[in-house]
Amino acid sequence: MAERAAPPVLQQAIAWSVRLNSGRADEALREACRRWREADAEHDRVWRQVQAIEDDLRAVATPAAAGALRAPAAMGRRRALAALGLGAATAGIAMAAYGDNWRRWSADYRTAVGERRRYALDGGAQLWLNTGSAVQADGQRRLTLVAGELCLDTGAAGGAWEVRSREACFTARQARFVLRQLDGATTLDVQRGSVRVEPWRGPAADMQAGTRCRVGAGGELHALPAAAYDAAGWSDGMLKARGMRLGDFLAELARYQHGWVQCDPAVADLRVSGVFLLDDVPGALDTLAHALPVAVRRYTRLWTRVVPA
Amino acid sequence: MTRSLARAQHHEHVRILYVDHHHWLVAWLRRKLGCGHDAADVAQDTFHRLLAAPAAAEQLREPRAYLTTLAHGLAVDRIRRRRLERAYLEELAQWPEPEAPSPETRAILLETLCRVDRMLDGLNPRAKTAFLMSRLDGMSYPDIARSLGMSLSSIEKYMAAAIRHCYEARHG
Repeated sequence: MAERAAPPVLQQAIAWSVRLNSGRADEALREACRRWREADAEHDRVWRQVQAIEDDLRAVATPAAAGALRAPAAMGRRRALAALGLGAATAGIAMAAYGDNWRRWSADYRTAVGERRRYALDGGAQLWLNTGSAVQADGQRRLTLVAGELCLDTGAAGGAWEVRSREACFTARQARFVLRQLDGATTLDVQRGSVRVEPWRGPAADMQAGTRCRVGAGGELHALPAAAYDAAGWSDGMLKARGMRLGDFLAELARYQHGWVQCDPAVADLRVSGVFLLDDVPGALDTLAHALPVAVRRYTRLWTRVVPA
Repeated sequence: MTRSLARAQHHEHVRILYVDHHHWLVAWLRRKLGCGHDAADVAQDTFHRLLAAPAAAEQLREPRAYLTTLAHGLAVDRIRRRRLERAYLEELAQWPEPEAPSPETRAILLETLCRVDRMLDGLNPRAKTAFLMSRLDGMSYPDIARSLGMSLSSIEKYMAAAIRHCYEARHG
């Protein structure tokens, strides 16, 4: 470990990173950190260097990568190598993934995996962020969904709100809707009022309360049948399932914790109904084992599999 | 001495080193790596490094010691990378197809994995354990403190030390 004292700015940047990653950081802390970064270009520069480290760690926080990293190392130390400056050789290829990570991290509103938040916005509007989500404020009444899922209630009065995703722009007033950014598509679930959908390429459409649609990367817009669960249930901390396929149910539940919840194909088509608390995924799985002919196998902290009982 | 002359002399030094030492270096590496192909590659990399390091070659009193140190580092790096890759693929094999990343994603992830592994190299093992519990498993500091039987402030110190260590490895 380093013995020399770190330069003051580096010490401060590290202290911020320690506090923001405690698992208990709140908006006030994030805001305070933002102010510190903006106070001085040097703060921001060192901050980005420290965040490059955090970004790398986030990128490898998957079960397989984490497992590989923890595999016992048989190697000796490579002091000579470090002295010869071989550290930077592999930077290039990771840059592609890097831009998006940085954008996600620096977003104005964001949640960690398993976290959900509500924000009060201008003019009585309210924004909810689901697990692992990021939203950027682009100006007055304009938001960009960078990752994950949001629910926006524009309030009873006031002007129109505009939310952008990778596939389309959604405009609404006096409405409540849920947007989810998937890999290569955005889904919209209109809860109240109506929402105008303008795909970045392709014809626009107005979606009414009680309808759902999906906009693909090519701009194609498809109406979706009613979901087997309440699309905005998460804003109340609940997954409300109505005859939902077990495979889909588990995929949904898995979003709320680190690691993977797998479903044995033999039980994937069983149907689940009920209300499950998102803050207690293990509890929800145990409930499932009582209600259905399934068993829950926990192999590691990160790896759960639901199999026939 | 002009710059280009200096560079020409440097190249000449490396050429002489190559002629004198390439053969035994490959043999030495083959014993170490157990593979002729890898040995030839690493030897090549070693001289490549030397070529890129002005002033180093001329001042070599003990070329063999210097070359083996350099080649050893490169060989360890290669073995380490292979080991990480193998461990990663073994872990991945446990997951069914839908969760398996694309080859492109996998390549990028592997690069990042190597970088993280290098950053963490030499970090105090307890600090490393605590750091990985936080950053990879998403555990809160109080939870980590409980599971390691340590105080919250010790965990916070570990986090700071770990970030500092990674920072030195990466930007230092």
